[in-house]
Amino acid sequence: MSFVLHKLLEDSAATSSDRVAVVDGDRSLTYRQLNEQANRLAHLLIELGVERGDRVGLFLEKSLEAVVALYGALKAGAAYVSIDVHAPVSRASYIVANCGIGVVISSSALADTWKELAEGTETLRHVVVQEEADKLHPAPERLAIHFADELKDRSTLDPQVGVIELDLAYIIYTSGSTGAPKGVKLTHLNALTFVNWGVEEFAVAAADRLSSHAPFHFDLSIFDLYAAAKVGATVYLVPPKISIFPIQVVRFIEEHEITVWYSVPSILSMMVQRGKLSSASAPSLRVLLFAGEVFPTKYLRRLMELVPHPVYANLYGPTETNVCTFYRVSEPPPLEAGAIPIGKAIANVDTFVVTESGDRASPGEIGELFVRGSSVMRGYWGDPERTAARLIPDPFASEVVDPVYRTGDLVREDANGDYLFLGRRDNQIKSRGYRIELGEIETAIYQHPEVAECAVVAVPDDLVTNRLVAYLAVRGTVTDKDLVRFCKELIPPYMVPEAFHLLEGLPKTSTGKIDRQSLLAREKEGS
Amino acid sequence: MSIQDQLRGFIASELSWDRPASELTDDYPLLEKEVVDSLGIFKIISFIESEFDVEVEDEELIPDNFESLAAITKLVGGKVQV
Repeated sequence: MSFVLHKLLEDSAATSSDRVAVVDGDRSLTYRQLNEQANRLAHLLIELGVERGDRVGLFLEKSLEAVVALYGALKAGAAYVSIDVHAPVSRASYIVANCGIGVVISSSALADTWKELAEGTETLRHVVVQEEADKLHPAPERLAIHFADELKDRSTLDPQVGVIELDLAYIIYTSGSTGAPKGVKLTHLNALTFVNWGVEEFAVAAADRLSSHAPFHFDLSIFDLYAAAKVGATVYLVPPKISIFPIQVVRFIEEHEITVWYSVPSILSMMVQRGKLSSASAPSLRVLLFAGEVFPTKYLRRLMELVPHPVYANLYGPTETNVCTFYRVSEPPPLEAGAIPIGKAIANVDTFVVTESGDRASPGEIGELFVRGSSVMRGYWGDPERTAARLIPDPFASEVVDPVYRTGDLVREDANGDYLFLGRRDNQIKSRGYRIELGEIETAIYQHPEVAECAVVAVPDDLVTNRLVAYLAVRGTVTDKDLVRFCKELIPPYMVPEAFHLLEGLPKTSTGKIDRQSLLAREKEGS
Repeated sequence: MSIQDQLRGFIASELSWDRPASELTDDYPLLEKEVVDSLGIFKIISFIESEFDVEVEDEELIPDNFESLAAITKLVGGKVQV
């Protein structure tokens, strides 16, 4: 029985040592190699002072090294924090400082960025680069850099660190409405609740070839990695570059005979439109999972018509709850149908709906979805206030004090007992599967000294769920290029609005608030 | 305006470009520098198809045809002449 994530790897390394664990382009690692490399790294981390409960940063492109790094961190007893290398350094620095990261695992290709990162934070002391030492430009004095030569002689035996399932395994930073990202704390148990369910539900087995499309700072990555490790199957890392070209994604699936695919719907919508799919496409594909945003019915229907053979399932759940509900799509949904349901709770997870007045909603009634169970996070890092606002005592329990997570998602239960997602209670939106707080973008824009007023609106879009457009009133002369550049320093690329419209002043509602509805109407009219 | 300049103007104004259009050189690596992402590709295609009244085939959606302004111009140029 595996209670912790890295035990999945250790067990597969023992039973399926020569099976291929991960493939990254033309490089790969067997289970034995992956486990040994992760052990070497873990022993180094322990020597550097990493202790159970510490946070270790992963600042790496998706690669074999990144997979070794996350297992290395787990084996040392730490929680890994995967940091988006494409996000601005200021955001990465915030994350490092916020959860007190002392060791970052990175690459020499990213040296300029992590040096800048180290300058902006007090806590960072060590950078581990799993490559031969090369001529790196001088690093800040207090920063020690460790190369492959410090790894090669380390023990390849599994370190014995007493990690239990309630220990943190990883922290995922998501957009925060007040301007700073918030760190969702997830335990081994949280991840395994989902992984164990997924392996059973979709009968994942050693012969499977799973794609890994999502970046490791995104919670969709959890399933691919650990479901494969649990059964000794192979994970194929999808190179981020090929995702731009739908036909290459289809080729990737065909070439590697992928059997289990899991991604956000937008990449699948693009494949439907431009991927040259046919009923002969991807014959190996057995299970097709999607999550992160609503899959537009017309594209899902077309996809199921073109590629009818796999099992299709819509997985739902905020990062805070992992996947908590799912819906098997048994046949192409009718074109006139609304969005497909998000379904019912997964095993060992309890869900219920609470109305505006605080009562348990009956089927058909609209309310907020609450989630209870072992997939639910342990709170936000260093933020008891926000944790208390979202993770509340079960309002309907009498004796057992049991935290439940308020998703902020409005749902209704249909006649089949499946939940339908209806929208948000706040200003959180989705774009290309990314969860974005409009408030975080606005906070960034307001930091520009010339900006007097600003509102970011989400314009519904078939392909990417929402496009972002900013409306502003400025004091001096500011161009939209200036604003794009300014935003890129503060927020990740997917949060930067695609257009900045400058107005004399923003329209107001009768109560004096910025009238978002009228801005949205203006945007829809114009397009 | 040449095809090249029309494309330059479009990419500079509609995609992830935060400098003057004139700095978007013909061989600037659009994919490598992430000026063009998956959504950007779709925007460029619809611009090309509507502006030049040509069709971009699915098979033509490969990095070689979109890695730079010069590459996209070549793709479009080949279609406009035919």
